[in-house]
Amino acid sequence: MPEPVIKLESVCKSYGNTKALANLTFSVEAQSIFGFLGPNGAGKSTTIKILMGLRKSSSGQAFVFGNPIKGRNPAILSRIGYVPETDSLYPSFTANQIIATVKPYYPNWDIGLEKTYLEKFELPQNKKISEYSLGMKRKLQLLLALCIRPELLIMDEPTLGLDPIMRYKFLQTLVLEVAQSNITIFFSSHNLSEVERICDTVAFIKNGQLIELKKMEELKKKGQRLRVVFQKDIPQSALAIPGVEILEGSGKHYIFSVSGDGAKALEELNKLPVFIMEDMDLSLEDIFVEKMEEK
Amino acid sequence: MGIYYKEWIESRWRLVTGIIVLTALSLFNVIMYPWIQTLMTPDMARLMESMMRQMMPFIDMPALEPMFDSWNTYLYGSWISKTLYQTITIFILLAAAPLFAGEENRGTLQFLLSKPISTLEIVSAKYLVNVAEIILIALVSTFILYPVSLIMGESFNASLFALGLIQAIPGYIMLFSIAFFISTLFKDSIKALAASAIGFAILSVPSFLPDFRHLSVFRILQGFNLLENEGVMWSVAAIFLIISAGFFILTYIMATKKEA
Repeated sequence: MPEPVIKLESVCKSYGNTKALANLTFSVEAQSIFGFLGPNGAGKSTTIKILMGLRKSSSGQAFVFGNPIKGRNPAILSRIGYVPETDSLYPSFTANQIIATVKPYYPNWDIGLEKTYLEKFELPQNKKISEYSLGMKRKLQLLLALCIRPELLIMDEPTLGLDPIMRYKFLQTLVLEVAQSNITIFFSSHNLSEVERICDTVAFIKNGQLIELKKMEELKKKGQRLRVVFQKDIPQSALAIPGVEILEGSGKHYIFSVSGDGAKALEELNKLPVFIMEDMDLSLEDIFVEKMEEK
Repeated sequence: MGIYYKEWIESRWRLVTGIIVLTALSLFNVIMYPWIQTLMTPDMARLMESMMRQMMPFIDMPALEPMFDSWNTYLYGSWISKTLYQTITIFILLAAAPLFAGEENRGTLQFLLSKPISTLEIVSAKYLVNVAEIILIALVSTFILYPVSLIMGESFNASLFALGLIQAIPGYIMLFSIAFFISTLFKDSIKALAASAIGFAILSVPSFLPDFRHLSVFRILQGFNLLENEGVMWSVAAIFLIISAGFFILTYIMATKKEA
């Protein structure tokens, strides 16, 4: 089995008495698109900064490309494209000056790709960054992260503050890049629809703890939701089926959440006078809300 | 080399401004000479010196009369021993304070630290580019006096001014090194600037104590010893450079502990 690109082993991080991360353990497989989800203050950015070597963990160990991260390591950083959450570009610089600053540190810098993205993103090369819109700054950060031909792309809320069209173009670029190269993408986001659209693996984090880590397909299968209309009124007491939970409804109409052995639960439900039974597609948002309310 | 380019881009207008301001001040000293010469007769110089000594006994007051003896002593006394070191000290405060504190304040430090640039290279680039600028400003604004002297029909004692700078530059480097280190201790440029200014004020205390004047960095920067033909204080210059190296190492250690 290939070595995971990212591995966290019982990583803890405290700021004074506040625990930002508590025994965080998970790994990210090579060439996957890994969505890292959680509410504000869950520890997403702290995890990313520990992976980049920008923060030190209080205990536990993070690994990137199999190397233990004990601080900033230029050799590892040269293989990572990073799009930070905050605007960290030099406001008095132009795009050309920013590129000229970072380019010498990346031996695999792709000049062709640089030209392509400068044109595609319509980035004015000689305009100061302070005159850029938020979307333009994000696109420049993405350009800097992609032109290095990274093996791993780490993005912290990359589409935060972008309008829907800009967000669509941004994600489209990412998907194209992944299809054309073998990079691994690790990104945190609040926007669940975009995670659902492009990620193959999703992790939920809350209060610095991992709540769930699943392949997107498994995750959606796991939380099956059914809308059932019975031929006659069925009392709730008659619906005490293992693995079936009544989410809402009474009388003839119910919405159930089915977990565990779904087939067996369905068999039990079918013994009742079912008129219509339909599978409701669970969105990642539904799953996210459920997970966050669970624990 | 990208980081050196970045430092140059960030500080080039400071360099231009520094050269313009200091050259203007330098030329102002030249313009003032005929007027000063008329006003400052030997009697007037002696009177002024004795008055100042009585009013401010704690001030390290040089003999004023020889200062107006000739074009070169006047120019050296008013430029190297006064305007240059005072202005460069202010320039050092303004240049060094934002180097780390400003980057933290603006959030740009995260950009720098997320790139595969070693901390030593980041610290070295900031240090070398800014020290080079300080030296360049001092050199340009001083040696502009050479052609100006010729235009004014005066001879220019280039070796005196060169030795004055050779003695002063290690002192400037030391002051910059201290302010540079202080910049790593704060996340706000204004606080770093205030702390550096307090540090410099403490360094100036020996100037006011007759028994300890020789320990004052600012007295060395003034270079009166060269006007009195005492030669360059090489050992002091070497000590300044050793202290500068110490502060550079401290800055590097602090920078490695920075978290974005």
